[in-house]
Amino acid sequence: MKERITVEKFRELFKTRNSVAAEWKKTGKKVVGCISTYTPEEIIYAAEALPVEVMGKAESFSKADAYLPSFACSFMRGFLEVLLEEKYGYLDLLTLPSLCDSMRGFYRIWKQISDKPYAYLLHYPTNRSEEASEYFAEEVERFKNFMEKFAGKNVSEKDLRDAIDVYNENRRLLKKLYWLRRKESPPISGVEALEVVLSSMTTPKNLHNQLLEKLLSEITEREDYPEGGVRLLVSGHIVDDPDVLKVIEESGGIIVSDDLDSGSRYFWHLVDSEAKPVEGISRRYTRIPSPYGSPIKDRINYLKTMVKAFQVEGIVFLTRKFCEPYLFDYVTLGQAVKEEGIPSLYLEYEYPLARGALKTRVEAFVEMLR
Amino acid sequence: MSKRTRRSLSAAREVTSLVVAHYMSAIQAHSEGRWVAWLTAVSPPLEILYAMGIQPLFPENYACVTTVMKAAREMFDVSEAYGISRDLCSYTRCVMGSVLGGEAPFGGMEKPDVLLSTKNVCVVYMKWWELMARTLKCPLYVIDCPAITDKIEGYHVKYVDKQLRDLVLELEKITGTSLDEEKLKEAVKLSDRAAELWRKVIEHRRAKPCPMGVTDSSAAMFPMVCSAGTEEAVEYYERLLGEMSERVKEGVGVLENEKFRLLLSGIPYWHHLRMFNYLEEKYGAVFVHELYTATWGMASLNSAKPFESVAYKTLLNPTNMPIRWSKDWISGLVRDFDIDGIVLLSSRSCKATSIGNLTIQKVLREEYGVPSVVLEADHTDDRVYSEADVIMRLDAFMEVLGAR
Repeated sequence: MKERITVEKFRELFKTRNSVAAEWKKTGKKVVGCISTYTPEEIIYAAEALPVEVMGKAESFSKADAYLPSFACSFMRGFLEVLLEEKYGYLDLLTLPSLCDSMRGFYRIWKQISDKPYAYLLHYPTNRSEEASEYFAEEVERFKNFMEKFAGKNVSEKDLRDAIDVYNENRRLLKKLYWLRRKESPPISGVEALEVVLSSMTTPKNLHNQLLEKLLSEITEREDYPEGGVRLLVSGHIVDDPDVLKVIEESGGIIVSDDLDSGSRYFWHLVDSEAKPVEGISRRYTRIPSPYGSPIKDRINYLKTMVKAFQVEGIVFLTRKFCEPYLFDYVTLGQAVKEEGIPSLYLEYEYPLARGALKTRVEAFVEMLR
Repeated sequence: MSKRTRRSLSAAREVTSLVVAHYMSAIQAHSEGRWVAWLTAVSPPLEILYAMGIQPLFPENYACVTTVMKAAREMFDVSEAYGISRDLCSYTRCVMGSVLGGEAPFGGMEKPDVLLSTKNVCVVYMKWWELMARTLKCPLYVIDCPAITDKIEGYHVKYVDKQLRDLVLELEKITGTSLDEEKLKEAVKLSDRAAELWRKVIEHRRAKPCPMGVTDSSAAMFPMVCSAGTEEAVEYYERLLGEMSERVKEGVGVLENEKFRLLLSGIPYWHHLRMFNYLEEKYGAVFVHELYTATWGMASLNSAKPFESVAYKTLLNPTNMPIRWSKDWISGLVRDFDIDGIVLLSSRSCKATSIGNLTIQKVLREEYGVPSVVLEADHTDDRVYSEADVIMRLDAFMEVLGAR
């Protein structure tokens, strides 16, 4: 399958993200860990540092358990575990947005335990008002000043504009790739799409853009396209392990789109390049339909738009245990899609994945939709 | 065994009738054509509402009342059947049970005309209020509060101040009543006075023996939560302070023979308040300070700058501050109140108040040599409470304290 080489390349980039970061550091530049979807990465890029999404997958929490209780979400516990195991030794800085109580709590705890990497909390506003976006603009400005000192690089307006262009380009290309999935037989699987997005969060953007161009120019039909599959959309937070989606696709689902932090939400909205850079950035990040700030009707509308655009037959809501914002939103979203006549399945998961149990549930759901 | 010398403070006993009066006042407000608002409980802009004649009600307090009245489980059944996960805030599940039609105490709270949330304690505040807004079809305003990473800066205050002014404009629009700035100043002055009195009440507990324990204190905080900004609250704390001074002067404590002085962190497990009696009676251990009850009334308010003061008050609360701040606070209390040990109550469904407990415990031990115990249960949901486990841990902890 010659034509899939580029798709494989994204998988490899994601799998080897630690060495990608190590390679970057050899040039003497900084690496900044962040929650990519809600961190204005343009600022980090403009300061010539590499932003990388941090992941929280761990199967035991022997070190983290000394600081975080069992009812903290396993994303934060897992991330703390890998930090304490020093597997993230290459991070120079950790930028966390104040998304949820676990993340805010994590930040407080980390400040107490260590300053390597130094942790920086970015206030992510709750409202979608003009005022909130002005405040976030100030917050972005403060972050820019901080990054300039931290990275030892003066960030000019031109640097910011260049960063915005590179990031918008990545977003446009990703969107183009997603649009191909509207076809009756999408040329990439949900797992592959996730790998492309996850690798975008961990790879230098210019390189990622080049690869995306290449992928788009040579992509053809999948040879292993599963017949009789049902078109699904997955909705949820950061899925940092493609295996979660693999379980769904092995159970008769064809994931054609998503509403994930590690999916469309990462790139769907562009920065207005006509606006003043910091303001444009602020507005873009405070417009993402998320459980961290948007009125829930924005999320409902986003879901409905996606379902229509991608001819989705069913939605799978994915939640990791104890993830409060998503658990809350599911109460309303589940009902809202039901009212729209869109079938949905609620799947809560933890690592290690209970593959058997998850598969049984997805298979039953798919069977019902066939 | 230590005998308790006195009944509760009479001001604390008064609270039961104040609670009933509080819930009635919302019915009264509606009959007078005034508005009712449901507010988050930790330092919301109460003064603005009182100045505008809007009657506040507090879902968190209602959840607590429901729990004490042993009616919470039915509420959980209703909200869990509706799809609200058991892993979510038990206050939310309790209140949503009544919102969704469960048979709740007093027939449920008087329905709100407007909902007001502040993100100063947790993100859950915002999510919970959003769910209520949708269920009750009610307008919602959320005051966004940045988490403080170092100290409260001018720009934090300015941001909240601006939002409060916008809130007033919105409330004026929907209620048709305008805010009288003089009334606001008066409410701020009263709120400041109540806070000052409450802080004095807390200070009186430094006395040996300690004149007020956790049970009375958890009741006596009620007017701080619900009525800060009114004459009634000031009068209440004047009475309470008078009673406290009397006890201190006469050397009367909660216990005849006070052996251990403890500090409490976290929300009390409302369904098992007898846990406190157990410590008092078996070990002569009295709680002389609670971080929880002291959360209200922390800030001084300047009535000449009402918005700025209220904004500052909203931001200044322990769960919104860095651990370093908590550390300084707690270590100061350990010194000033002569604390022997600390009991940290974690609540499985309240991450905001619980997630840092293990870290705080470690810091207290390593930096200050203060012994502490972390319990894990839930403030409202008694299905995850194991009395045997709690007693076992408390016994072990008291043994450690006894050996010191």
